Amino acid sequence: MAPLVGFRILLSLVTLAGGLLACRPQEPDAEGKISIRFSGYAGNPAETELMQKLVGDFNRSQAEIHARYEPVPGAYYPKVMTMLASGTAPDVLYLDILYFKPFLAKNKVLRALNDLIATSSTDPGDFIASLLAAFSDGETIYGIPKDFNTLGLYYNRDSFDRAGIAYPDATWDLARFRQAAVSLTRKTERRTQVGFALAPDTADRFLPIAVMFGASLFGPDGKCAIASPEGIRALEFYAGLKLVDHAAIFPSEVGSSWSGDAFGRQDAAMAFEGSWLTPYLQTTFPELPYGVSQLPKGPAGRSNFLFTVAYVIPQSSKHASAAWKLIEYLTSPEAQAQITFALPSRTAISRQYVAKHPEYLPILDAAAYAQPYDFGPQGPRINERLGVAIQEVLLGVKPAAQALRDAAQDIDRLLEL
Amino acid sequence: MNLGRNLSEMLAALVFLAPFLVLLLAFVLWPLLNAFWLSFHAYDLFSPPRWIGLANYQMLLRQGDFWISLRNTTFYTVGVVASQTVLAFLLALMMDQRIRAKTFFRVAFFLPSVTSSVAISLIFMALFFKNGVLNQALARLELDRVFAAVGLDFPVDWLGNLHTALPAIMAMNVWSTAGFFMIVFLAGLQDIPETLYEVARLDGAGPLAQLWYVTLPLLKPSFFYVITMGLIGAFQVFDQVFIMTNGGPLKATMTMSYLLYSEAFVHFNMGFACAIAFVLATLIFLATMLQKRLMGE
Repeated sequence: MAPLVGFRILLSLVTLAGGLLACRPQEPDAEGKISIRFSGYAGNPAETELMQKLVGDFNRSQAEIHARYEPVPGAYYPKVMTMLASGTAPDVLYLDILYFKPFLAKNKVLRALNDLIATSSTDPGDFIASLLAAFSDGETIYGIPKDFNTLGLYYNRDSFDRAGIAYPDATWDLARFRQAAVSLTRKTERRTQVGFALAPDTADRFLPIAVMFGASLFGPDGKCAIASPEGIRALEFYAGLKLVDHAAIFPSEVGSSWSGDAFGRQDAAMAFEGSWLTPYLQTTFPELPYGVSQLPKGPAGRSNFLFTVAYVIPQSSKHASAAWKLIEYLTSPEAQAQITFALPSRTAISRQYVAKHPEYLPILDAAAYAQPYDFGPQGPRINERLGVAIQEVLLGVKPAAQALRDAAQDIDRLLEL
Repeated sequence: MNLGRNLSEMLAALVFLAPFLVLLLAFVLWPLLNAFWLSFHAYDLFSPPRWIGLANYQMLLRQGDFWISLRNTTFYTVGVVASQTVLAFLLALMMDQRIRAKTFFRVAFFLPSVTSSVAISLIFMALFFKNGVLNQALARLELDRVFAAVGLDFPVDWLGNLHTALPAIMAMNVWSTAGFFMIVFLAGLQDIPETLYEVARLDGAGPLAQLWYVTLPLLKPSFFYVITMGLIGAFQVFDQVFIMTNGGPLKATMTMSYLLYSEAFVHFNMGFACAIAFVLATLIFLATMLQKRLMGE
């Protein structure tokens, strides 16, 4: 009996050990090189493709470093945050301008890059100053901007021709824009095209209009000032495009997930989008005749926002200097010249680029006066709360004045946290 | 000898069970206890957890979003469990008759419950769009006038409208789970001996009396199972909301699980999210106990 029992225990142990061995992870095929990982969000196919190519080129140029590109489809920040917290974060990460201050406020998440920059040939002065400043805390640089965007007014040339309206130009103001949206809206038996694709739940398309009306998100006392008479008028204007003029649609109404797509499908004749829309239109709607101009002017002048993303190195990275080599390569003039979905963050390259591709000129022109899309450590929550206010007005739950006052109150409470 | 044998058998059993027990401890019990502990802390994943006592639970009661999500979850659960149970029972009764192509129908009704909820959500999004199939069908049937009568604009943006978004997701879920519960009822129905119906018929019971006095009482265990599993599933609804509406428009589809997710993984209020999880678990427990009491199990 006893040997049998022993055998049984042995057998179960073997089974258990076998199970554990099978779980052992595979070694990466780095062949003795330093292995680093790099993640960004996989929102734009043109961008993912270029990153794949650039990382491949980088690996061929390096004798001692092997980089692996791990794009994240879908919820990028939840994934990155959990990886950072569990110590499994990649060595190089995308970081959006809106998330920089929240990341900076966290305990030792981002690595300062000054020492790495000092020992390399990269000159921070080559980059557009406002972009670099957006990822710095005083003198300390935490991220190298990879590229940037502002919003442009994308318009469908066919629709303008059909309605007999001249294409948008630098003289356009908001009243003209509104008029055009109304005249471009036409319903036929078979299909409806409206003037403007209106993003109902994000603040980034509304805020430029608010500033054009003379409002600002924060007052001189640091408190939220969006519920000023100018801010209320701006939201009434924005929502009025749909509620009063019936010249706008939400992308979701026509089965699109964003206004660029609704524009591409010709459900709307105009949209406010960044140049990420350009490669999307070229690959998905190659027949569409479109143009881009600067956003119209408002009573208080021009406004726009800088949307930018930087490469950062988390503190947890064990190969910071290898990671820096990759960042240097990805932000080099050669790499930046290949971007199609944004403008290069190097001043000289972005000028050359626009000379070659004039359709990006309005996006670059706006950078001269655009503000960074950054609202401090509570930025994502503030952005979300403003989005709710806009949606409340658009869905007819609250009038603009009340929606903005409620939002300002909540935002002030967030600022005290 | 006997004792020694028992002991060694127990030891062998333990070793064989070990792979499962280790996984259970590491991935279910330990996280559960840890989450309970975290629900009394402020924790953002980066700074170490800070003890704040019951503050998370107090904040929960004060936060408007929690009450909205509680209202939505309750509405969702009551609506979905009631309709899916009735629908599943009726389908099972039909499938228990001698009809043509029975197997085809059984498969057709069951198929949605083994299809990925993500795929189903994407298909239903296309149905619910303003220019989608549902509105086109309604217009073809000339039902658009009914909408005008109740003050809704037609075509309806089903998932973008404050009043229709949650019912639309509920309808989809009833459709996708009714088939599974139909199978449970069908198994229960086929377990009822034919002789009982014969006796009932001899006593002069018509079809309705047979249903009321024979079928329903004997199906009680099936009903208990279907309602309990339905309650648990409905209370925890997340993936459909995440894909179709992201809790919107204006929190009209924000369920407790979705609020939990957004607090934990969008805003990194881990302690607060754990508190929501334990309130949700308590609610499910209470609802199940109440149902057990009502059904006299």
